[in-house]
Amino acid sequence: MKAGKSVSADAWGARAMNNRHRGLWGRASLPRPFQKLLNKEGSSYVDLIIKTLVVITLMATVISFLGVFTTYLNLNHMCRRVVRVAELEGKIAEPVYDVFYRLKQQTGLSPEMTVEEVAYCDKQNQKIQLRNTFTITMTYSHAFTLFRPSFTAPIQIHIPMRVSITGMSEKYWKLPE
Amino acid sequence: MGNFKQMINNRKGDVFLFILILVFFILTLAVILSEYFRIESLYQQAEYVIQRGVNSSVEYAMRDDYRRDGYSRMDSALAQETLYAYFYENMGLDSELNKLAGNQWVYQLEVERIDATDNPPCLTLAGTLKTRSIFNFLSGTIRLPFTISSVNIRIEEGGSP
Repeated sequence: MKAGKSVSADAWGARAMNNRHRGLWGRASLPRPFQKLLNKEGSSYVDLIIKTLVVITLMATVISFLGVFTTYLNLNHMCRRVVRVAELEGKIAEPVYDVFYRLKQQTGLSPEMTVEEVAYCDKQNQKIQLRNTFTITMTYSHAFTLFRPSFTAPIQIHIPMRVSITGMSEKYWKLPE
Repeated sequence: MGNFKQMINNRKGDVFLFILILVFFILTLAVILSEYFRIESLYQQAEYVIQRGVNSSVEYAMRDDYRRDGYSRMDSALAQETLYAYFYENMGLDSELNKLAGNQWVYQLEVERIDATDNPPCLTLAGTLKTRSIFNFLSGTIRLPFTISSVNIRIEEGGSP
């Protein structure tokens, strides 16, 4: 039996055909600095670096948003404490403002406080009769910093916050007839 | 039978089944946790409101004629009456102490005992808060016991001059 003549893949004929389809700059003819891009060695390492960067960016975003929630919780806590003091005192007076200013110092927030829906039994001293309700509202604008460029002022979004809590006086005022 | 055995031994799609079980487990856990925190929050809120009622009842029932002489006395019958008035008028409970939000039942107060003493002026309310889960599969009534007390030992003169 006569063996057939085999032609290998890198035979001259095949190479000539491939070169014809590679265009002006064939794959092998990239400029020297870019030739490294074609090297697949260590590609998973680059992949890992990119993934780590993405995860760190996401985490930083989440952490910066946590500040907004913390501020809201602090504002809520402040309002609750002030309402409780007003309930126990039965009037909107010095002890209430004392607690408010102390909490302002502790939390570093500077909200505005208003007393609404209140019927004073003694307007001059701002006394609230037993079981009469009142509402204390605190408003605050939280500055959320997006960027802090070195050449200009930081770019911020102001997030308005508002907390309203209703309380009830626990003090019985005996008023003159 | 043989078909069933073959189906059990077949390993195709076992990852999908595992994911389904995992999702079911996570969802169940999330539901139980959220329900626990909802009931905890409801209990604290109710306790706070009842405490306010007990405090104000004691405050209202204090006898100033005794306080003027340096004694602390309370009209215990008036304190109890005021507490029930608070339940109906301020907490918005009905005659059977049910709390409704619109048409929806939220909870019921079960008063076990009210101890009121004139001297020292003390009012203690012991009872149970009965509520239900918002999820139908968590059936049954949840009973949360509470004991709330208020004492007034202030003997200086109160009220406006």
